[in-house]
Amino acid sequence: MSQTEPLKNFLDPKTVSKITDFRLLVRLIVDGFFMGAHRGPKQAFSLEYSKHRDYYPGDPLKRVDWRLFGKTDRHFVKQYEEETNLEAWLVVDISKSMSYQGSRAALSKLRYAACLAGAIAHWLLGQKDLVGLILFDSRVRKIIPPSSTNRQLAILLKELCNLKEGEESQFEHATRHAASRIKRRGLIMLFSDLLTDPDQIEKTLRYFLHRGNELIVFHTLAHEELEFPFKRFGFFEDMETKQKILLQPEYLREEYCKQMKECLERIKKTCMRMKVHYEQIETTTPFDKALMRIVETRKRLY
Amino acid sequence: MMAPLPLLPLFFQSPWFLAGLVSLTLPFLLLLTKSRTYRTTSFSSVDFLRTVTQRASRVIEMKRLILLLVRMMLLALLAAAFALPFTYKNAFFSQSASRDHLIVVLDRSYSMSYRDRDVSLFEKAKSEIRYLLRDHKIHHPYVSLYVFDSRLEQVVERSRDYEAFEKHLAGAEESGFAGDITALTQKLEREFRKSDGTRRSFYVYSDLSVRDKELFEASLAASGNSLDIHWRGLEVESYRNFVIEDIVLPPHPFVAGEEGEINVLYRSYGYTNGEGVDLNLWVDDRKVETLRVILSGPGAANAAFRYLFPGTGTYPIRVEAGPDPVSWDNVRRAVAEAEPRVSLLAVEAKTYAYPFDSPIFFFSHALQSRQAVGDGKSWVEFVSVPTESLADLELSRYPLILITDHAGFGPRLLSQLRYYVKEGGNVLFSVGNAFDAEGHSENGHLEKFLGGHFGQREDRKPPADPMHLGPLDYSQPLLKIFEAGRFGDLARIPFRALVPFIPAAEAMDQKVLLWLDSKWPVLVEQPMGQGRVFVWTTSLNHDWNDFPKDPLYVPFVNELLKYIVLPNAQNVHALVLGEKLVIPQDPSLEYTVLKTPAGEPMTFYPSRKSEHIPLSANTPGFYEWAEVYAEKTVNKVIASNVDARESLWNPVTINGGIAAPKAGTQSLHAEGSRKLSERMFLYMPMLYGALFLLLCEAWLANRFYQPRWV
Repeated sequence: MSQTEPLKNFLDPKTVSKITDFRLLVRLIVDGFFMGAHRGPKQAFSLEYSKHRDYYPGDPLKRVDWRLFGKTDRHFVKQYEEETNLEAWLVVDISKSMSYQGSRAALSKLRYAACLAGAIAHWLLGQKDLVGLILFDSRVRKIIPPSSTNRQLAILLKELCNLKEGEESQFEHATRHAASRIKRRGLIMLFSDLLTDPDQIEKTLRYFLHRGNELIVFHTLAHEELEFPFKRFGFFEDMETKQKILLQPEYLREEYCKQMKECLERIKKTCMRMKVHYEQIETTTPFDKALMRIVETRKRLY
Repeated sequence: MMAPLPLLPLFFQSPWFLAGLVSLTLPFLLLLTKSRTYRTTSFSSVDFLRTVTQRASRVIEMKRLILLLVRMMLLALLAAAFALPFTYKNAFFSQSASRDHLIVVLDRSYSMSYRDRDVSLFEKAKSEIRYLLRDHKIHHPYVSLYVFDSRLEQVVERSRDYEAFEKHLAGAEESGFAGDITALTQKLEREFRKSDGTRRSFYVYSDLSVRDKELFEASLAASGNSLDIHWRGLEVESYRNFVIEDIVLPPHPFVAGEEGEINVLYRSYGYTNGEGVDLNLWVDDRKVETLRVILSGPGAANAAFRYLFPGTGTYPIRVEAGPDPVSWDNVRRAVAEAEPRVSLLAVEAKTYAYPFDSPIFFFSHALQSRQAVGDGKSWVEFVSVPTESLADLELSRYPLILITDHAGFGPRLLSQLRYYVKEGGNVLFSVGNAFDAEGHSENGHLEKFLGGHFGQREDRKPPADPMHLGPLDYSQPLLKIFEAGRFGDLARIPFRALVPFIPAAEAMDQKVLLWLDSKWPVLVEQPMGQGRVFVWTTSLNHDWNDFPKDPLYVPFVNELLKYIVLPNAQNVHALVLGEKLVIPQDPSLEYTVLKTPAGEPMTFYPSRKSEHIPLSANTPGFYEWAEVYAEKTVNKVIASNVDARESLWNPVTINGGIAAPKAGTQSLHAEGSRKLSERMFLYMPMLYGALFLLLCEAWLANRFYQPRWV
């Protein structure tokens, strides 16, 4: 057994589910993920000069390059290529459907999303990036503005740790509201099961992309939602609406899987068309794999 | 009111098992209670599932309902099967309630009163008819009720009034007459010859034999009718009967002071050889004699009582078999008359080689016909003497002297006769082949005695038309019993010859009792002193007329003799055996109640269809008759005793009053077994159906992975 094995174990949701200290849990995930990586995790961002242009009335005077004015006696405005720290938003769907866990997974979709979001926050804050959090169900429940302070991690993790399932999801309404709260371009990471009308999903994505944001969708699903492995005849109760439906799962499995696959394909295509990175994550997937996909995605994008 | 017609009318022999249908609620209750215990699986969202499974769910719901239905049907079939359901074969093919006509024909002949285990066959039949009606009520058919013995009578006309039907059925009673399938066949064939689109079902309840039934059906089939007939033979387990068929009395009064013979015709069934039955003779409601008859096996026989009628008068008599309980009700009634013996003196000029050559042969035989066919003793004593012996006789001993041959009747003899008549005697003077009209006219002695004179003999030989009686005055006592042609028309009798008798002008008190249509008198009455002289202007035998060959001759001669010798006697012979009873046609008559000698009261209402009561005086005895008008009631008592058919020279066969089943035990058993086969029990198909449903239930439940009985 190598030295990294004990930490790697913490990347398994089953193991993670036994840890009650969320802060420790997130740190273990991140440490386990980066253990043995060759590149250091710390990266810097700075303002870099781009070009000069003529001064036009109305430009702030503070932007005038007085040194060049001294040399040329003309007013030039110095332009910089903005390169600041990343402003990342973790947008987590806390509707009731997200509390579905299934029989095979150790964590519910919500808990899984919280762990993953916490790990990402831990990682980005370690790079001094700005990280904010939005929680929504039928409406926006919580907004923690982006910050890169050391205290921010504690705030975020505390919030993620104490996540409670919300109400019925009104996806389109809530996400539009959430998108309106994001003022600056940044990276938006949406954690949701997207159990809504695919047309609404497309609308929602447009809201988030409106300001030129980069968007990553973590489509969080339970194994049962994908495979529908139920056998026993009985009622199926909607966790949000409490509606019941009586059915024989065995007869429906094939049709269900077929329909589900088509639905996922449709969402995926929509995301591709809109240049949204789409990640479908099962709640049984180890966290390292999930994080690796994020890193790879980042590399591919930049 | 129209009742709905079920496709398959069901009846249940053990309907209390239908309480098991309550168990039908069990699957429902289980469904309602257990459905809540279905496992509920929380799922993130069923919206997606719903779109996927919308159709599938509907199918599942439907299958679930089918399963529920199958289980309920299973329980219903089991409950119904235990209740022993049955139907009738013809019920499958009922098309329309309004076109069904249920015709019930009930045998009410005397044999139906046979009591089998304390229940008479008649009551048994009525009970079965009630069940039949109850079973068929569901079809709402028309119903009719007929009863028959020797005649068919419609008791309930075609209607849907079932209460009236049951009321009339309850009121129906056995008659004392024999059952006759011929009358039934003819009547039904006539009634239902035409098809009016009604589907008729006949239910015949009778103890008549299978052979009768076959004759009945064959006869109807031959007439082109295809009637739906259900023959309900009545099952008799121990058939044993003793039937008094008739009491045979002499057609004329018994002789008071002498022993008379009362013959009892009987028929026995089911008795072993040597068994005995007591016959009791009741006279004037007093048991006067018991006669033990030893039976020698099944069949008909007769027994004779000898009874001494103490004096003149009318005696109601009754014969009953007893104390055998089987035949306790087997009673026959009659009425007997006892009169003083009448001695009739016939004067003949010569002795005839053959008796039937005698001019008085038919006359005397008619008066003694009972003597000819049985052992009865006539009330008329005939003394035949030659003319020359007349002078030596004490004539006052004889109430009537019959003179048919007049040879040798000189003034001396006629003077003796005149004296005899004036003292209260009667002379009946008849003509014939030996009568010399010219000779009597010449000397005038006889004509003077008779109070008239004779004319030239009138012959009506073929091809000339014969003469006939008429006009007839039925109000006079002599002809009263022939009124309205009760048992024959006197005017039909041909008379081929007569010697006209013209009454003398001074004979003012002469009476012509009978006329011929040729305007000549046939019978003339001439009072003389305390007696009377009668002249019969044609022969008393069949030389000049066919009267002696006619059935009317016997009653006529009897009535004539009574008229002559018993002028003051009450004539109780208002009816003759076989004569029809006639209801008076009076608008104010409300109804008539008739009590026959058998004791059964019958009520008759005036009908437009028929003025005759469909009943004849077939039983000797008293008929009590009450005519009820709006303001008064007229009671009559009439009696029948004389049978006109006796003059036909045949052995007397009394049809009335015979009550005898024509079938033995074996054939009746066969009928009984046929009856049951017409019911169709359905419990076995239902059990098979339940088994099939059980298998279906198991298969469906397994197919749906459902917990059982949910």
